[in-house]
Amino acid sequence: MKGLTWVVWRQHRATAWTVLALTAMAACCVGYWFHQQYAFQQDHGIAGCDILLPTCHGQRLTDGSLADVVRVLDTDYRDVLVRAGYAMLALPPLLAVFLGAPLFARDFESGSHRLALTQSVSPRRWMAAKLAFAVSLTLVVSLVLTALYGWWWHSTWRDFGDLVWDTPTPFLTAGPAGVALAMLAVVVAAAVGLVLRRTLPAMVISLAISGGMLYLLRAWRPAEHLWPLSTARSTPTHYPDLPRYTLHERLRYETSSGERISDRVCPDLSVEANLARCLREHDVVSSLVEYHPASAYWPTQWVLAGICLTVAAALVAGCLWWVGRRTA
Amino acid sequence: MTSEYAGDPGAAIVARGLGKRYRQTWALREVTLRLPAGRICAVIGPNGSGKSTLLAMAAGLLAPTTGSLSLFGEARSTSATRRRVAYVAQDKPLFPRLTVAETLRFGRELNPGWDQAVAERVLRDVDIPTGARISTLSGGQRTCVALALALGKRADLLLLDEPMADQDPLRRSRMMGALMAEAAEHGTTVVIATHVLAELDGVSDHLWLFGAGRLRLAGDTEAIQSAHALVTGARRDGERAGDRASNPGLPPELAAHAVVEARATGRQLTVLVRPGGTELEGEWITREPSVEEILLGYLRNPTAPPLLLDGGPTDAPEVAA
Repeated sequence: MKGLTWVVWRQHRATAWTVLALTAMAACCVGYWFHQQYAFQQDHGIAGCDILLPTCHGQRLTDGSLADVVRVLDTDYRDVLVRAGYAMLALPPLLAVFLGAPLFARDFESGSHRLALTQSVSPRRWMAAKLAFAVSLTLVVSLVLTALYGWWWHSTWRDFGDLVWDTPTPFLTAGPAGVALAMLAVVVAAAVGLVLRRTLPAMVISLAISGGMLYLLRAWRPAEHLWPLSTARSTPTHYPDLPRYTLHERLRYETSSGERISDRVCPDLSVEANLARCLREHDVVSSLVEYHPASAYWPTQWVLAGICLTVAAALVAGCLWWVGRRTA
Repeated sequence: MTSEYAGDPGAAIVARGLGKRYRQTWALREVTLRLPAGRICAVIGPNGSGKSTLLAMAAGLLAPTTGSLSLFGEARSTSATRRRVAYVAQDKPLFPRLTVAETLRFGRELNPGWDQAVAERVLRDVDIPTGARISTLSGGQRTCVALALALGKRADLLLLDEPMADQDPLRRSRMMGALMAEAAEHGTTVVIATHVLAELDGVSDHLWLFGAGRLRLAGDTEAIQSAHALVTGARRDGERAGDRASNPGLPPELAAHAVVEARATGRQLTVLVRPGGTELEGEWITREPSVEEILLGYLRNPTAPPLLLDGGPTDAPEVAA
């Protein structure tokens, strides 16, 4: 290595090795659990069975020994999959606190930034090199873990029947959105360290910010807002046929003029004849369901990833502009 | 922006109306000065007088609040000036986890003009093992490493903030020797901030004295010396010498000259003056003061009128003394 690359690597290599070692351990854990579950399903001949359905390979799932096997899968292995996902949610805050926050804060706190900034390289290049280091390390770590966990999750989530795809895990742990979120968290933490110039306060504030981002994303449910809903139609008194694993289903009625009205215009009409009459009175020509099919997972992932990366890029540009202005 | 700096490449530092404010307080105000290239300049002043602020601004670490500062005829903190300036901060920041050898490599990787031999020679002179970690070194040893790093950069302008403060006398003289040898060999301009006056005796040929953020004395050391006279005579009855603010009790023949400081010892009166045009009458013994006597005079009497001989850039109006 040469030049700034060597300088940045030498200064942060202890952090880098620690982060990479912990990543390797985490990857081994995920790989081990993935393999255990896969082997269990293979050994008992239940691979690819949806345990919510009554039958698997022609046998009723409520019968005998197969039911016991399925119960073990549903309790033990389902828990491991979900808990590993929640552990994965800690990745952006951890990287923010231990990689992003000290990146500049430690230099400013100890005064060694004055050593770096009075060599022949410009402050902007120095900062860009450090940010590049932090962002690439984040990319490697989150890419490895997210890809591995995503492989596990996507190959097995349908087996459990009741798992949904827009909860924080897998939505922020098993796809590109998770990688982008980790990068954003690290860049935000680096900027916080640059402003606060103290390592410990920067770590605390970064933890709060990245934790807050996770909380807001959980509350806001990005999958619902970031991609247009699909629609399915049927006759007025019939609920449309939908594929499995859909989310955010909402029943509406469509009138002859094409207007969509609420399904509450005809409430609690359990007798089908009465419902049909009520719908006729409201000029309803078809029932209509707006929903997200499971295939909406990937486009919403990419949209959220794009948003996170755009914000991160803007923040990097802001930091570079700021350091140039401060010393010029 | 850059055009105003053009035309004075012979000056290592030119400051015009330079000021720096931290929130409400001014660390440096209305500083106008010019340091010709190749000089060894001593920057003297009590703590908090603005020495470090001036050096940090010249090093490109701080932006001025008012005025301008140029190095070798170019605006500060451009890529060209960054290569030509080396800076050692007062607290000698280094990376504690690096070894001495790695610290030198840091300098080599970040500076195209790096001279490994110079840096290694400096460290050999003061017996610092290159394999040692910075965190295991004493304060004085760290200062040597910081100086080696600055010298290895092969800069045209060395800005050293209290470089000898924590050195034992032996190492101090060796470091000073190494520094002056390098400066003489390459025509380096050296600016050394210090409050140890003796440290620079006979070494510096230019002088800036700061007090409370303002420049009080500036110029060639010899010119400053010849502008002053130390006058000794007998005190007459009824005179109250030592009233530094206005010196009302001074003999009338001294009133025509700018009095820096007057002190009475018994019946003897010693006055540091900047002689005016007229000859001094009466029974006075006059001699040229040492640099240290001049500096002490100004330091003891903060109200003494400033003497600014730098003149600043040629097209700037002469700053009133």
